Amino acid sequence: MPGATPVTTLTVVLTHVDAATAGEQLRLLGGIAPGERFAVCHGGKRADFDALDLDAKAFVDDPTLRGAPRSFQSYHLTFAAVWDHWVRDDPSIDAVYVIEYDHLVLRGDYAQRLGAIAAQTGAGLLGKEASLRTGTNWEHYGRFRRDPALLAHLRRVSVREDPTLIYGTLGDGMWLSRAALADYVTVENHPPCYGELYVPTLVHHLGHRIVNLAEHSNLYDHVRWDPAYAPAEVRALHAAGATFAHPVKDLDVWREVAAHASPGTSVTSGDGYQV
Amino acid sequence: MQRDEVKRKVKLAVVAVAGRPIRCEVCDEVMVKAIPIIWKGDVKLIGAETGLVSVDFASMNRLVFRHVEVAACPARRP
Repeated sequence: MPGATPVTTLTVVLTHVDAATAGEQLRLLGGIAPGERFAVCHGGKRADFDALDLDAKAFVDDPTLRGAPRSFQSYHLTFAAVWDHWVRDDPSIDAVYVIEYDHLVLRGDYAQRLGAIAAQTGAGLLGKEASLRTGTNWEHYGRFRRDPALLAHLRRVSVREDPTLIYGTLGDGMWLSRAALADYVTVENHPPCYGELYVPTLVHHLGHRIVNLAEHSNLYDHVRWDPAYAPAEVRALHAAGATFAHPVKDLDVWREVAAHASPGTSVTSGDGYQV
Repeated sequence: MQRDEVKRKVKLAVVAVAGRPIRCEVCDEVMVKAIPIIWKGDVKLIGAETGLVSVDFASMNRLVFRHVEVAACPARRP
């Protein structure tokens, strides 16, 4: 829409690493995307959080984050912290982009690209392979498809005709609209569940559209669960104009990318708005 | 854990030899190989756990399968 207000995205980095590494990674991201706003949610040691030399930081003391991998990790406390610390009182923030500490941004215009897809699709949540998982052999769907607590919870909160539908997405790189986040944090008494299932499922049932980025772009072609990208692979992706790479553990290649940061090119949203 | 790993490898080997290909109904690519059995009232597809697939009934007695992930399905990639 001509003259539309640009989307301001708050990029939230979820980390547990030591203060020096976390601080450097945030500074490097700021160098790669100098026009963007960043904040940190630290779920590791309190001492590392206290030592982290950043203004925009919040400590998330969530025991589910310390459980067995891929068990019951949740985002409730993280989302509440993001809302309370930065979003609720700042109406200029239209969206929240939640990335893990090893999610490397390669282009400075990433937020505009995500925002353009969201505007085009009306998304409440954008994610890597964010999609319906009912009727699939997805491991976590099998775990929770008949979970009494989850199903009762969804029946209580859902605005949809079918309150039993289950969605899933990769946890790294979820983009939520302000409205979706606002609705999420008003929900109480979340049942034990796995975040990659629970977040898109709840957001769907609260009335928001779940959009699979893979259906609309190649932005997440190099965002995966594992294995980690080797430095040579990251250099090649960066040179080829890729927008993201995850997971990237090697801090030296982060430094290389920041040293050769590209602001990116302008993109147009589906409604013709030039960002 | 070691015994589980041995069992897993044996199962994979059996499926590799005796499994039948299951194709995506959209792109026609083979997604997994599996051995169908009826076990305790359920239909099990031994080997299907190696891929991420969705299922539907195409007719009263025929199940069809698709890739769940767009990135895995050539016919659905943008």
